[in-house]
Amino acid sequence: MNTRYEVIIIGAGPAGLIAGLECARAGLKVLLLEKDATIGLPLNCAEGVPRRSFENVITPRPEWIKSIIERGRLVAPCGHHFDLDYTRAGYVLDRPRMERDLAVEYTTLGGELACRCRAEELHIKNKRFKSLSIVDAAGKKRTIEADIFIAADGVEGTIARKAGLDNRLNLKETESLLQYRLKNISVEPDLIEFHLGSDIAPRSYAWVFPHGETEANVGLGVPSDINSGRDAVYYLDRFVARRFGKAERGHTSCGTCPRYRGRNILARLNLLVVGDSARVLDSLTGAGIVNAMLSGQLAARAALKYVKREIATLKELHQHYPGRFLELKHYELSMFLKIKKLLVKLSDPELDDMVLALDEHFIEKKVDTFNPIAIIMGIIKKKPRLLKMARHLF
Amino acid sequence: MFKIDPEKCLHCGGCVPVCPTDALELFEAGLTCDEERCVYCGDCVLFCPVKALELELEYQV
Ligand SMILES: Cc1cc2nc3c(=O)[nH]c(=O)nc-3n(C[C@H](O)[C@H](O)[C@H](O)COP(=O)(O)OP(=O)(O)OC[C@H]3O[C@@H](n4cnc5c(N)ncnc54)[C@H](O)[C@@H]3O)c2cc1C
Ligand code: SF4
Ligand code: SF4
Repeated sequence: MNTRYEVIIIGAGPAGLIAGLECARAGLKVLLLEKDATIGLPLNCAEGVPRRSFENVITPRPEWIKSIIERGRLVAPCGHHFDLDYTRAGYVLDRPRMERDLAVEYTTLGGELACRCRAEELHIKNKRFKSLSIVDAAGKKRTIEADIFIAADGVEGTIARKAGLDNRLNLKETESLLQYRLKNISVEPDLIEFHLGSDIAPRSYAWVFPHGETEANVGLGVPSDINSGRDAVYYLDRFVARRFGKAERGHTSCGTCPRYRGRNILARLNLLVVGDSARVLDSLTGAGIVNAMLSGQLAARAALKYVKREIATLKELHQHYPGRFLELKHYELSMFLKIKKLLVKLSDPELDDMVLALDEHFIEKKVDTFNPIAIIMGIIKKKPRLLKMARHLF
Repeated sequence: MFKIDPEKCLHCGGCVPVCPTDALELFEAGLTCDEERCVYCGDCVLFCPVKALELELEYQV
């Protein structure tokens, strides 16, 4: 490890790996720091991605894909379900495999990867972040300098927080997620399921994502502040028993889905914050992989221009990142957040209404693209009782 | 007393930003709590999806 780089990236999840690849491809002197020993592990994820936006960031290798999703099912609290066909809608990935492959490609292109190296804190000098203190694999404290820093340190988000960006999570708005990999079960390999209802996953939902032919990622969220003993373990054990009976349990995942917070926590000076650390997840479904990759990619492109002095001021830097990212994603992420805030308020009968209205709205039960606004307007027409949706959204 | 069960903890990191005083840190070797900072609010205990955390309040009479 040297004492100076052009770019330092903290965290080798999807966000940091894509940022690293982009920098290495451009020939920058780049260091990617990862506190854990193994890229891709521990895995705390359901591994589902929408195909189009994923492929806009990267061309997947066949080995990364465990299932190709072509159908979605929404199950109402009353048990009524509604299916929608959507050809090649998405993938369920082998995420550890993908991350390992990305790391190999990154180092092959000349990027430097340091595992078991923990970033501690950024230090400021002359109105720029100048250096980063780290603890290396041997447990030794060091300071390394760079022109620009990218924080991709995931949900913990410690680096941004210590640099003055308040990405703390309020327990009242936080969900606790729990998931089991179920084995030796029979699943339809192209179907993802979402189950709604206060009895299944209060104020959230349960998911079934097929992982190949005989396994699935089955999980749910519950509000973190429920204090009744009915926690994520209680609800998930019950859901699994009802949906699959006795099932063999593999790997357990857990975590949270931080809500989208807008522009304020995405950059400060020459620190760009990406992925879960920037809270750029879809607050409705908890999907964060593609946004992590896209924000990492765009931040790296901005960093490249900054290092090559194609842009001189911090203002210009921030126009590139987070500016470009927000141009593409702010509206969508804000809309998903609004829908989420609304869904948590719907009672079981209202959720039933919603699923029935969706069923009526999609007459052909087939789509090739989604427009959430058109869908919401459509279902309100069918069920005027859901009018409060429109009032809250626009 | 703040107790962390390393057998249960899945290193998800979710409790770290929930802590109002930044008392928690997740290392490769596991989670730590800086009890100098901890105000025993219990938020992380409520959050943890796998019940790896526990607070034992000791009262002195
Ligand atoms: C149960 C569950 C299910 C999910 N399912 C889906 C899904 O189906 N689809 C989807 O799109 N998203 C899903 N998500 C969200 C998704 O996992 C995240 O959005 C995604 O991992 C974000 O990527 P990232 O690169 O920003 O962060 P991470 O993947 O968390 O990577 C951050 C990396 O930074 C490292 N790091 C942290 N601090 C430091 C430090 N100080 N120094 C060095 N390294 C550090 C960490 O060890 C880690 O490797 C799910 C999340 C959970 C919890
Ligand atoms: S929330 Fe629980 S599982 Fe996750 S890091 Fe904290 S103690 Fe470990
Ligand atoms: S009890 Fe409260 S203050 Fe103490 S570590 Fe947990 S969240 Fe932080």
